[in-house]
Formats: sequence, C-alpha cells, structure tokens
Amino acid sequence: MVDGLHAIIITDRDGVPVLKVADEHLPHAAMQPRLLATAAMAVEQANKLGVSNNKNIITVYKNHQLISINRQPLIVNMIANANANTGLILSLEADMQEPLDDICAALELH
Amino acid sequence: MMTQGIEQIPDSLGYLMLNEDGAVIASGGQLENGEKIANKLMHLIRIAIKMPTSDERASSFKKITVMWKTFMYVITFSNHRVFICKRQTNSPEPIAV
Amino acid sequence: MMEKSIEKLMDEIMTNPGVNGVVCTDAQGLVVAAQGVGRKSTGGQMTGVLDLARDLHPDVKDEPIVCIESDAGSLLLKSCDGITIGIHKTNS
Repeated sequence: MVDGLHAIIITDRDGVPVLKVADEHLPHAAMQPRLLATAAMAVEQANKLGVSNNKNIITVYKNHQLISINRQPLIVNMIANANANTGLILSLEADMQEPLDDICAALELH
Repeated sequence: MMTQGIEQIPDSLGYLMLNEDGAVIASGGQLENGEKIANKLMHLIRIAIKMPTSDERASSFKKITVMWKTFMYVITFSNHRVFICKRQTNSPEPIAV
Repeated sequence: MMEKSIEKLMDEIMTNPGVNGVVCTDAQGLVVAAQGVGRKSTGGQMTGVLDLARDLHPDVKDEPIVCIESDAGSLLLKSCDGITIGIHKTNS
C-alpha cells in the first residue's frame, strides 16, 4: 500500500509482539525484541512529560524510520525506508481502527 | 460489452473500465489491455478517494483528474465501476453529456 | 524566515475567490503549514497521490497536477521542488 513500508508490528505496552507482518527487506535489527521494547519504553516515558498522552513517535535513522503509534493498550510500530512517505504511513492508523479494536477486545478477555 | 459511451468521448486517446477490485472490464485506444497502468491508477484512486475535499464529511460523488501539459486522465465512478479516460488537453469544447 | 514567506504566500492564495483552504507539505508527507479546511488535511495522502501520479508516466518531464472533485468541493494538488501544495476550493 505504501512504497517503502517494510513491516507493521503491533505490540503490547511492554513491546511484546501481538501481530506482525513484514516483507523480506526488513533489516535484521528491526526483528530484535530490544528495538520494540525500547520503542514501547519511549512511548511510556513520553506519556510522562506533562504534555498529555503521547500520540506517536517518529524515529529516523540513516536508512530506516520507525513510527510508533500509541494506541493504548497497544503500540503500532511501522518500519519503513528513511525516505518513505511518513505522513501516508501515519494516515494508515485510521484504516487500522477496526482490527485494532478487535485485538483490544480479544486482549481484554484474557 | 457495455461501455456506456466512454469510447465516444472527443479527444480521447484511450479508455479503461474497471470493476471495484481494479480488474479491467473494457479497454481501448492507448489504454488497450493496460493492466499495468490500471493497477497504478487503482493504487492512486484508493488513496485519493479517502481524501477530504471540503468541511463536510459525506461527499459521495468524486471525480479525479490527473493533468500534464499535453494530456490528462479523467477518472469517475458509477455503478460500482471505475471509468478512466485518457484525453488530449487542448480541447476547446467541453464533453457533451 | 522560511515559514514567514510560506505563510505570506498562503494568505495570498486564500484571498482568491472560492479558496477555503491551503496545505503545504514536505516530501515526507508531513504538513509544513495549513490554513482553513486544509488544517484537517492529511499531508501524507497528498504527497502519496502525487508520487503515484508522477509514476504513471516517469518519462514525461512536467509535473502532474491532480484535481479531486466531489459535490461539496475540490482539492487541487501540485508539487514543486519537493514541496507539495494543496488548494481546497468550494463548488460555487
């Protein structure tokens, strides 16, 4: 759907993957649990800055970008090329509303 | 094949008629068997259709025009079909409907 | 400095008849400045549509203009030097 978007990983607030989709271009480092755990921690810390809850964090690296959308109790992480359309990736959240609600509902049952 | 007169549009360089999934139902002119361009256009349409054009939320009917100096694509929707026409830009008279 | 000149230009665009919103985004699809209806706009879609339009005919040198019309209003898109401009117009 979006050029240069390699993976969407939905994690819980600790960075444990709940759902993952990725293509073959994904960098190895992105698959390490450390990256997702750190992203989750960053969202948690950003919530505490006294400027209301954090909505999303965009982290840009040399070749890739990580977009973490805070959607309590879940975090939607998207990994894309550094030059990919950040705005378009952010707008994907609106399309994911329904499945995200379903996942939330399923998590609350357990 | 029902193309609803799309092949009669003046200054037309080619046309495509797609279903909602982007499959080619009819084609002609420069766009004959234009599966590749149909896919690209469908990708564009899926994003464009969601864009707000005004303050009001519900604005059902849409028309999309992609223009270059010498030609353009005019895209519209009717009866679960996507109609695409490639036209020459320098046409003095509008299309008579 | 740059924001000042962009905003001045956008004020100028807003004075045109029928214009009720302007948006300006960078190549990454992030909104640089917006006015009127444009404030609600998602910049990513604007840049995305233009990137796809350019990709239809990569051999054609001039920049495509995209116009999205509905019965309520229209949105005109064009990019120049990595900046995309979207102009919202009412249908009157």
